[in-house]
Amino acid sequence: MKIPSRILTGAALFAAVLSSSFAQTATTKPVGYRTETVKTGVFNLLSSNLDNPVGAAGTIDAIAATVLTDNEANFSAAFVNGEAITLKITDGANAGITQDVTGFTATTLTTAQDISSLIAAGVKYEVRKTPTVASTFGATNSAGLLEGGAATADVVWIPDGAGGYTRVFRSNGGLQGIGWRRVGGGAADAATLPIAITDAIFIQRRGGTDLPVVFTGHVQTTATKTGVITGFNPTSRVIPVGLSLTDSALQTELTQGAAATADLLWNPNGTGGYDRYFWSTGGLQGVGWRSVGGGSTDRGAVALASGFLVQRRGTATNVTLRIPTGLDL
Amino acid sequence: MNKAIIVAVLGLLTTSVSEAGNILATNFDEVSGGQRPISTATGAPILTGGIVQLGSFQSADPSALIAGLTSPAGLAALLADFITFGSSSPIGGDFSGLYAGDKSVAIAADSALVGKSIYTLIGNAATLGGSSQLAIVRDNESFAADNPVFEALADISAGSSVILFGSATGPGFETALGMSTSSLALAPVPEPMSATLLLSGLALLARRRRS
Repeated sequence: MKIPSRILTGAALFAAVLSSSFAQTATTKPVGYRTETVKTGVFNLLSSNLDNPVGAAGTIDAIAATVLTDNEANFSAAFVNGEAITLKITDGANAGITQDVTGFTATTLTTAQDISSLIAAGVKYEVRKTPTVASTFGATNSAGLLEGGAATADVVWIPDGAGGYTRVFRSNGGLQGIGWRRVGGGAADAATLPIAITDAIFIQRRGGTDLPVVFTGHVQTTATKTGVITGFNPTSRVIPVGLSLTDSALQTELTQGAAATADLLWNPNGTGGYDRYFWSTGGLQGVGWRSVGGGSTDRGAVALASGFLVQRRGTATNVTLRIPTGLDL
Repeated sequence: MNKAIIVAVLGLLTTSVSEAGNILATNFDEVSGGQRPISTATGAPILTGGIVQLGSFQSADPSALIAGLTSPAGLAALLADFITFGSSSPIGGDFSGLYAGDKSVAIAADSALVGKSIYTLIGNAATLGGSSQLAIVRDNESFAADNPVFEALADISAGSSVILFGSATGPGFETALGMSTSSLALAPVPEPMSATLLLSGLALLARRRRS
């Protein structure tokens, strides 16, 4: 998929260090916008590749199972209970790990999973509001997705983390009322459903024309980890600029082998289909990045789309979504 | 959803079984070493050339169409009924005697392909219509709508594939993967040109008889 990307520079691109009253440091990352063309009649796999600004950052003082403590923090001043929040560990051996925050006090964060075995006191972190349906596509659908009923509107497929999807569309009335709604979810508001920066989404475009969708937000400037489970994992490139297979270095964490045994990366081809790549370990196809059915031609220079599928054939593992070497953000 | 894989909780994670719009058309499995190279109706190896095309038939049962492969009209009728999926591949494009093409086309829920068996058609010329020899193999999988993606394998070397036209008793020969034990031998179909010549001959014979 051809992805026109433009990260604003100059006046709109800035990195400011803000000192808060509670002795934390929050760094505003580069901001920008990018446009993706959602093609009609197909499932479009993509990611905004843009996030919310850092709301809080600091150093973890203590970890007890799912509860992380930063004695100098004041999370209550930065976030509102009930909103989706994402924690990201930014240094240490497992830098890049992200977690849904399920609750907080002024000085503690509760994570969805117990990551105490992966991090130690003293690691640095960032916390952001997680992008939502409303923040990604507009509270009143400024993105212009086709509105209607569940069977007629454009549908956004959001990974649920367990191999399934939550499907959301913009209802324009009837029993489900007006607003963002889940398929089969009645009239409950789905505007605040989170879309993790590490996840790619499908947009099932039922509108009769291709639709350019503009995303705005902040740029992640450090590598991010995400878990991939056996099967298909819609995965975000995270970084809003081109990333080659070689630069991704994903072969270091994915299963290598032959087309029938290795983990596959399904890269959208812009027409609803995919080109599939894997790290070949030898045989007829030789060693390196290769395309399925593509002989021994080296594919290391192929650019990953904003969102792609990781077809994990082995057991679940974490993969790192890297920042290209030499990229100055 | 933000998630990390933590060894202790791996058992809690469910396995995704999403359907996935790509089909790999191939005649070998390098991992198992299985292969089914292609030979002509007279047993000559086809190391390069020919055509391999995936698709399915509009007809629920193509047996009558296959039985009709005794004339150019029969071939034309069969190809008119055949819905292609993706572009064609040649034999030996990358590796001598072998083919592998990853075909990817979005399949809408109302596509005529949905629910139909996947077939591999192999011809001895650059086009199926121009081929004088043909093989038809039904693969053991069916087309499905993207939901949101669809994936299948059309490996004619797999034991589950069924040869509907052609023969599995072709000679073994050396491919890029090594010596095969047997090959898929194409079966002859009437060429338009040979049929024209036949008709011309019959016409000439009729004229001579009249004279």
